[in-house]
Amino acid sequence: MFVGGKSKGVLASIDDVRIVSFQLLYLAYTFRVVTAVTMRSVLDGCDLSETEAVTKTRNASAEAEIDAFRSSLVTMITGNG
Amino acid sequence: MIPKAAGHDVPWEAHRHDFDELELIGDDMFTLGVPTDSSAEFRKYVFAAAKTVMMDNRSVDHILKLYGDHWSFQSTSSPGLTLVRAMSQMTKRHVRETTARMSNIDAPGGAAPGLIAAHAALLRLQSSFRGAVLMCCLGLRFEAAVIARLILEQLAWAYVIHGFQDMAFVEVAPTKCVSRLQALWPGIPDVRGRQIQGRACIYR
Repeated sequence: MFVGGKSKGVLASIDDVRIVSFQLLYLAYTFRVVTAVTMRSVLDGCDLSETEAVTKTRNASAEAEIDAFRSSLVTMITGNG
Repeated sequence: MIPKAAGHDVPWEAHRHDFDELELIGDDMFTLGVPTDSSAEFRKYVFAAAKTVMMDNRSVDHILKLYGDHWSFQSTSSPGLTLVRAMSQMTKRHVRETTARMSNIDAPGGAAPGLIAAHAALLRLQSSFRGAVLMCCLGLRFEAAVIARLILEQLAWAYVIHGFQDMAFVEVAPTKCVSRLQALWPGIPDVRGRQIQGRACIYR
């Protein structure tokens, strides 16, 4: 056995296509978040500079997306949708 | 008013399906794509219809009666696969919606080069997601993980460079941007490095 320790744990986590599929789903939400944040200046005409206000707005957007992600997951798992 | 069949779309309505939503059936003369969640009976009828045409016959029922007992079509659904397909559908839906939202944006005059590049990189991601979902549905997890890594780095790159006011973004390496994205969006899946450390070269 030449694979062990840390690498063995890493391998186990990817050993199921469901894990990768879930990661892709999470990345799809990340896609939404990044798009909302990066395109905000075009949509809202707000300043792109890293001001505190912009950072707060970004975090709020991210939090909203996290909530949407959680509720969608629950819907998917419980089949209520 | 055109009536709608109960529980179904109108009979003549047709949709284009992506490859990850299909399974291929056929023989040495033809290949057909059927929905992954289709029943064994549906597959049998579709197969019989194609067989009828290929044999220059006109009666599907006749072909079914003659050969139907020799064909067996197993439904490939399993709890694990069903979950993967459900997640894939959700992934595609979000990518489709996000891409549509972006496509509606008119680039303002004088937009910063970084913003234009980020927009292009994000639009490009729909193809990467499409490939990754297809790999997942084919059960090719290491290949899917490789594309997932590409997606993550492109997302991070677009996030980091979108405020650049000049062309300096071409010097920014996507691999160096992920930590910045993690600060914004915690819990990003750790897809980096696994396929390299893994046994992808010896395990299917």
